[in-house]
Amino acid sequence: MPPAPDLDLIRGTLDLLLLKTLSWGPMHGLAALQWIERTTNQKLQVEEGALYPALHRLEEKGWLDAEWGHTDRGRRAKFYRLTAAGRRQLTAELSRWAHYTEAVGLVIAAKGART
Amino acid sequence: MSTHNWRGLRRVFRIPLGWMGVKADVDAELTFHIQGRIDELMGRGLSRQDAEAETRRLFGDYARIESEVERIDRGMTRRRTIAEHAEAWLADVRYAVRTLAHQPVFAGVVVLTLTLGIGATTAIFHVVDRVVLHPLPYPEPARIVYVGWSWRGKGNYAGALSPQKFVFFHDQSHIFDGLVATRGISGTVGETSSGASARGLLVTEDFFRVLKVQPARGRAFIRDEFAPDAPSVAILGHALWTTRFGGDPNVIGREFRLDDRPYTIVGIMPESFELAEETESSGFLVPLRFTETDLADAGSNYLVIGRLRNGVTESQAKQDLALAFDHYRATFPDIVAKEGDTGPVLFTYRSLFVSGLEPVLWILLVATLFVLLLGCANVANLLLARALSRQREFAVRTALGAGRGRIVRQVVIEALLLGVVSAVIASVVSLAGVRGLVALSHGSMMRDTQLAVDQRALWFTTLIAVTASLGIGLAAALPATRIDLARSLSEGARGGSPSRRQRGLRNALVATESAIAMILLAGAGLLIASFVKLRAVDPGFVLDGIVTARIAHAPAGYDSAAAVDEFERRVLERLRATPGITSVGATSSLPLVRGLNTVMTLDGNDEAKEGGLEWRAVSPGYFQTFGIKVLRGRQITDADSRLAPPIVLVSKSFADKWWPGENPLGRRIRIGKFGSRSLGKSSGDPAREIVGVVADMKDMALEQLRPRHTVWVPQAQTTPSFLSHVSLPSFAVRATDIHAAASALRAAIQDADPRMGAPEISAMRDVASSSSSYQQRWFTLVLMSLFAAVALGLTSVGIYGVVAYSAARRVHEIGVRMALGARPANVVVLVVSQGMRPVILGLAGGLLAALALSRLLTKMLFGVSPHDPRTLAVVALVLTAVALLASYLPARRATRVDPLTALRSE
Repeated sequence: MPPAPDLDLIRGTLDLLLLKTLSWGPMHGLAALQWIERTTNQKLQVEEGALYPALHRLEEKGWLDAEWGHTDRGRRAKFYRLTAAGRRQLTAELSRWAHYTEAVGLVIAAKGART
Repeated sequence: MSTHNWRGLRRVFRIPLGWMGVKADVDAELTFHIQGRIDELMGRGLSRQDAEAETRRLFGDYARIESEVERIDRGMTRRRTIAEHAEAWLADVRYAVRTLAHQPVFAGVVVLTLTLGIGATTAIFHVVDRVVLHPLPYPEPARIVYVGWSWRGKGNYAGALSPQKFVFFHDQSHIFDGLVATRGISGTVGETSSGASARGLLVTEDFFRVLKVQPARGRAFIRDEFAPDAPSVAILGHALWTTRFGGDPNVIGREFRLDDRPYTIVGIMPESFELAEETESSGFLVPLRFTETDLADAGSNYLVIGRLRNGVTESQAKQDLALAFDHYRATFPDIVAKEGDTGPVLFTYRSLFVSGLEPVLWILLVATLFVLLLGCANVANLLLARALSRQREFAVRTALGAGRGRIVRQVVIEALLLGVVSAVIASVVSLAGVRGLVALSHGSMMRDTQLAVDQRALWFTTLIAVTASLGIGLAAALPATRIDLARSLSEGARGGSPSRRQRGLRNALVATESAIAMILLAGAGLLIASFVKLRAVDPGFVLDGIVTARIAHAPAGYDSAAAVDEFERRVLERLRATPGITSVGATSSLPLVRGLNTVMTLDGNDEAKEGGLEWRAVSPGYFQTFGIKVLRGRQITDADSRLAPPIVLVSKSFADKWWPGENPLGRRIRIGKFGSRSLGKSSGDPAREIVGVVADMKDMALEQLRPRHTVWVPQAQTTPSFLSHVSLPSFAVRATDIHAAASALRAAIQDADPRMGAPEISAMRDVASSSSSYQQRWFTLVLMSLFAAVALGLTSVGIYGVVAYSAARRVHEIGVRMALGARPANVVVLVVSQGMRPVILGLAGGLLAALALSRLLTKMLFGVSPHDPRTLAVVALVLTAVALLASYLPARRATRVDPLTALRSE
C-alpha cells in the first residue's frame, strides 16, 4: 500500500464527492470509495469510518435511495442511487464549491498584502 | 423470493423497516465492505493476514461506525413510518369527507343528534363548573371560608355571626389572614325623590385582604375610616360607577349621596369584582362600624368571611376555633347556652351557598350524559346500518388486502369527523344554552361574568366529543367488519344479511335506550308530581288576592319609632279607606321573606331560654289580611299601643314546647333576653304577656317541614333596641282586584311621604313562586322534562330505525308469508312483537335502575315517594305506547309491500 497523502476531508466535501460519484450511476459504498481513490490516483483518501455515516445521512435527507442488489460477481450489496433531489443538491453544491475555490484561489494568487 | 424483490414488495406495501431489520441491514452492508476490501488487497498480493490487518486499520472503529449508522437509520425509519401513517390517515379523512358530503341527510341527522347531546352536556357542565366547582372570583379561593355558628342541641346552624361574636373571634383566632364581617344594605343613590335604588355592602376593615381584591381606581378604606366618628366614605362598584356617574374617573373625591347622607367617594372597584353571594351587582362598599346597639344584638345577621393563613389545615383551623370558643365561653358564660351551643363552625362557599343547587346540577349533568348516550346509541345504530350496507365494499377491500384494522379505522374516522363537527357547533350552541339556563333560573344561579366559555369547558367538550365518537365508531365498525368473505361476496348487491350477533347488538342498543328513557322519564315524572303537590300546599296563610309592598330604604328622618309609627298609621288609614280593599296590615317582615330572629327567656326563670326564634312585629289587621288563624286568645288590636301593657302572641309549636298540655295565655316571656344577660339596649325588652296562640304555618318556605317557633309582637310596642333592624314596615292588602290594589298601595305610600322611593310591590303568589327553592324546583323540572322529552324522542327514533331496518331486510320473507296467505295483521304482530322484545327488556331494566337512582332525587321531591308507584306506572305506560307506535309504523309499511315485488327483488 503506497503512503497516502495526508489530506483531511471535511464532511461537506465528502458529501459533494459522494453525490458527484453517484451521479455516474448506482454504486455500493466500497465501489464509490474505490472510484474516488482511483479517480484521484490515490491522492485523496476517504476515511472509511466517515463513508457509511455520510451515505446514510444523504439517504436520510432523501438525496440518495438505497436498495439491496447483486454485484457482478453475484454478491449481495447495498446500492446507492442519486435521487432527483440529490441531483439538484449536487448542482447547488458544485456551484458553491466553484465560488469557494475561486475565492480561495484569489487569495492565494494575490501578490502580497498592501500595508 | 429474492431479497431484492422482497425489498421492493416492502416498498409497495409500505412495510417499514423494523428496528431489528436495521441492525441486520447495517451489519450486512459493512460486512460486504470489509470482505470486498480484503479481497481487493489480497488481489494486490497481500497475505490474508496482512490484508485483514490493513482493512481493519483503514476502516477504523467498527463498533462506533456501526452504531452511528444504525442511529441514523432508526431515525429515518421512525420518521418514514410516522409520515406514512399520517398520509394514510389523511387519505382516510379525505375519503370520509367525500363520502359524508355525498350523504348530507345522513350526516345532518347525525350531527344534529350529537350536537344536541354534546351541547346540552357542555351547557350543564359549564354551569356545574362555575357554580359548584369554581364559584369564587377571588385569588386562591380554596382558602376562603365562611364562619358561622352551630347549635348542635337544636340541630341547626347559622351561616353568619352576631357582631359581638365576630369582634371576639376576629381578635382571638390565629388562623386567618383576615376576617371580615359584611352585611348587604340598600339605599337610594342621589336625591331621595329622584334617586335610584342600589344595593351595597357594609364591610369591616379586612375586606380587601380577605378577598384579595383592590379598587381599580382610587384606594381601599384605611383604618381610620372605621372609627365611629370618621367622615363617611364609599367605594363604588363598577356598574354603579358607569351607570350613575358615566364612568367618569374624576368622581374620586367627590360626594355621593346615599339615603340623603353624604359620602366621599374614595375608590372604584374593578369590573370583575362581584360578591359571589350577591347575585345582584354589588353597587357600593361602605365601612361597617359597629355601634353599641349592634354589639348588643345577639342575632346572627352578619356574613363573616375569612381567608385562612397559608399552610393552615382544616383540622388546625378547627382546633384553633375550638380554643377560641373555650375562651369565649369563659368570658361570656351567660351568652353561651348550657347545652348544644357548639360554637363557631367553618363553611366553604359551596356548603353555604351552593348546597341547595348542587345535587340538582349533578342530577342534570347525569341526565344530559344520558341524553348524549342515547344520541350516541342512535348514531351508532345508523352508522352500523350504513356499515352493514357497505359490507360488500368492505369485503372487496378485505379481499384486496386491506386489513380489518384499516376498515375499522375508516369507520372510526367517519365517526370522529362527525363528532368534531358536532362539538364545534355544540360549543357555540351551548353558549346560548347557558344563557338560557341563567334566564330560566331568573339569574339566581350565575353572575354575568361567569358566562364566558373558558378552557375547562372546552376541554370537557373535546373529551366528551372524542369519547362519544370513538365509542360510536367502534360500536359500528367492529360488528360490521366481522365479515364472512365468501358469503358477502357471493350474496350480490343486497349485501350481507345481519348475523345473529349483529341483531343482538341492535337489540341491546334498543334495550339500553328504553332503559335510559325510562330513568329520565321517571325522574321528570316524580318532579312533576312533586311540583303539583307543592302547588297544592296550604301554607297556613292566604297567597291569592294579596298584594304586598316592601320599602327597601327609608329617607332621612326615620330614626325614631314615632316617625315610623306615624308613617305607617297614615299608609294604613288611607288603605283602609280605599274601596275594594277588604283588609290591610303591616309587618316587620312578610311571610316567605327572610325575617329577623331573636332569643327569649321565660320571665322569672333565667334557665328557661331559647334562641333562634322568628320575630315578627305586626299591626292590627295583619292576621285577618293573611287569613292566619289565631287558635287561642285574641289578636293584636289598636289598643295594644306603646302605652298599653306589653303583649305577645306565640306560635302553637312554641307554646307546645314550653307549656305542653297547659294554657300558655297569661304567661310572660322576655324577648331579646337570654338567660341572665340582656342583649337589648339598656334594659332590653320588657316582660310580655302571652295573649294569643297562632297556628303554625309554612312561612319560611312552602316546602318547610317543621314549623319555626315564632313570636309576634304589636308593631306599636317594638322597643328602640330592635329599631336598628326594623327599617320601614312592609304592607299587605287583601283585595278582589289585585291590580287596583297595587296602584292604591303605591299611591298610599307616596302620599304618606313623597320622599319615599318606589316601593317593591308584588302579588303574594309571585313572592311564593319567586323563592329560590321554588325557582330551583321549577328550573330542575323544566330541564328534566326537556331532557326526558328529548330522550323519549331519541328512543322512539331508535326503535323505529331498528324495526324499519329489520323489516326492510325481511322484505323477501314477508313477501313469501303474504303470498302464502298471511294477513297484514299477522305480519304487523310479528314485526311489532319482535321490535318490542328489547323495549320491554329495557323498560324492566330501566325501572329497576330508576328505583335505585330516584333516591338521589329525594331532596328535590315533595310529598311524593321516590318510588311512587303511580308515577312509575304512568311513565312505563307512556313509554310502551310510544314504543308500540314507533314499531307499528314500519311494520305497517312492511305489509304494504306487494308480494310479487318483494319476491322479485331477490
